[in-house]
Amino acid sequence: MTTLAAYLFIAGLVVMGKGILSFSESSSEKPAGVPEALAVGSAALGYELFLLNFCGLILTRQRFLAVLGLDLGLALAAVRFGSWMVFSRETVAWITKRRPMLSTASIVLLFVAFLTAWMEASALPLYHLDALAHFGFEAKILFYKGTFRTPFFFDKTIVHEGPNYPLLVPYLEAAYYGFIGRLEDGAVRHLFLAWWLAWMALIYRVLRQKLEEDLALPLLTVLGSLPVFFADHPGQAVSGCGDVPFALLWSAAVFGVLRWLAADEHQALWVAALASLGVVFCKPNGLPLVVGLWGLTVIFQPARKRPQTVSVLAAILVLLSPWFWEHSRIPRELIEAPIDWKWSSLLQDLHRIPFLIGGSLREMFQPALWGGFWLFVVFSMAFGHKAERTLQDRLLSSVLVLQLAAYYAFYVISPESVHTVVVWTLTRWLTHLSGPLMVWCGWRWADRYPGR
Amino acid sequence: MWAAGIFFRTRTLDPAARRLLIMRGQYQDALRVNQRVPPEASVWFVSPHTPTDIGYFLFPRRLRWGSPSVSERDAVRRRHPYDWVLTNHSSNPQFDSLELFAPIVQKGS
Repeated sequence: MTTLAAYLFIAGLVVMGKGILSFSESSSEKPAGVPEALAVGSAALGYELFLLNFCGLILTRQRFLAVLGLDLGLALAAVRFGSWMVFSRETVAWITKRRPMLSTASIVLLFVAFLTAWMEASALPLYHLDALAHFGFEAKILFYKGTFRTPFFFDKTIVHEGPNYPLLVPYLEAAYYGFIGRLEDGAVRHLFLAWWLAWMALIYRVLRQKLEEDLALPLLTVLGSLPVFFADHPGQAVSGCGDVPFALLWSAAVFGVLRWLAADEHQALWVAALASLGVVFCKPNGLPLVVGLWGLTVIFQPARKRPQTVSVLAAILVLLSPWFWEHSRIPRELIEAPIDWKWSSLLQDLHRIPFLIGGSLREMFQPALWGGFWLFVVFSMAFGHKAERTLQDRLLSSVLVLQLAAYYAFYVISPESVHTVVVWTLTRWLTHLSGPLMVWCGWRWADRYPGR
Repeated sequence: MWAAGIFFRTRTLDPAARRLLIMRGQYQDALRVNQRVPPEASVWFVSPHTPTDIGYFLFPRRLRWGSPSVSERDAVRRRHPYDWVLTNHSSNPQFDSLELFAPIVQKGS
C-alpha cells in the first residue's frame, strides 16, 4: 500500500511539473515530456516547502496534505492533457513494433535493470550511511518537527552530518511521509527508482534527437546497466542518497540549455531554469555547476539571446536568496574541517594531483562498479574524433570539462585524504556526469551513423 | 542475483526484521538505547569515528558530540551529570559496538 502511495506521490510530482511548464507551452514547440516534468515538479515542490518554512509556517500533516492538494489542483487546472498522454496510440505502436535483434536485446536488458532496481527498492529500507545519517535524518526532522528551524539544525553540539547541506531530497522525503501520514523509510526508496527511470528516459529522448532507435537503445543500455546502479554501494540507483535526483536535475538543466541554444524554445529555457534551481537546492556541488553552465551558455549563444539568459540566471539566484541566507546562518558541523579556499592553499595542494589521478583510474576501472563504461567512452572519443563540432556539441564538451575541473579542484583542496575523498565520493560524483557524457558519446556515433 | 536473493529472502518479513537483516547488531544496539533513554533526553556521543547514522535511530533524542577519544568518557560524564553518555569503540561507522552509560545524577533525585 505504501509503495502504491509512493507511485501516486510521484504521479503528483509529474502533474505539478507539467502544470508549471504548461505556462510556457506553445503550439509550435514539442511539449516537455514526463522526465522533465518530474524534474521540475520535484524541484518546485521541495523548494516551495522550504519557502513555507522560511516564512515561518510549521508543516503539520494537515499542512503537508493541504500544500500537496492545492499544488495538484492548480496544476490540473493548468495542464492540457491531450499533449502528454503516456499511453497514446504512438506509445502502443512503439511497444508492439518489430525491431532488430540488438534493439530487442537492449529493451530486455533495460527491463532486467529496472526489475533489479525495483527488487532492491522493495526488499530493504534505507540503509546506506549517507541515506540514513544525512538525507533520512533530515527528512525525519522535517516530518516530525515540520521545519528546519529546530536545534537539530542550529545547535552545533548535535550530531548532524551536514546541517547546512541543501534540503531538496529531505523535503521531498518528508512530503511523502506527510502524504501517507507516517515515516516509511522502506517504500520511500521507490521515489529514487522513479527519479532514476526518469533520468534514463530523459537521456533516451535526447539521444533520439540525433540517433535512430537501433543505436540509441544500445547506448542507453550501456548507461542503464552500469553495475554501480545495482551494487551494494551508495551510488546505487535506489540507495536514498542525493546523487540520482541530482543527476536527473543536472541532466534536465544541461539538455534544457542545449535545446534553448539550438532553437528558440521558451519551454526549454523554463525547464533549464527550474531544474537549475533544483540542482542548487539538491547538493552543494550544484551552485558552481549552475553558475558555470549559464556562464558558458551566455558565452556560446548568439548575442540576441543573451538578455533572456542573463535574466533567467538572475531570477534563479534571486529565487534562491532565502536559501543562501538560511545556509549562511546554519552552523557547520562541529567536527567538520573547513576548506581553505585561498589560492596559496590550492597551489600548496597541487602535489595531490598524481595521487588523485591514480586513485581515480583505479576507481573508474573497477568492473564491479563501472563495467566497461570508461573504455566505451575512450572508444567513442577515438571513433568520433572527426565528428562535426556544432554549437551544441561545443557547449556540451565545455560543460563536461567544467564539471570534471570543478570536482577535481574540490578534491585538490579538500581537507580529507585523497583516499577518503576518492573512495567516498568519486564514483557517485561521476554518475552525475555520466548522463550528459553518454549523450556526448552518442553524438560521436551520430556523425558516423546519422539518423535524423 | 544479489537483488533477487535479498528480495525473495525479505518478501515475508516485516520492516523491523528487514532492517535487522541488513544492519544486524547496530540496529539492535540502537533499539536497546531507545528502550532505556527517554525521548526528550540528550545523549553525549563519545566516538573516534564520524559520521554515524546512530542519530537517525535515536531521534528525537538529541545525540550530541562528546569527544572523539573514548578515554575521555568519564570526563564527559562528569561534565554532563544529568545526561546519558554513549560510547562507540568501533572504527566502522555502520557497525558500532555501543555502550550506554546512565546519568550520574538522576533528575528529581
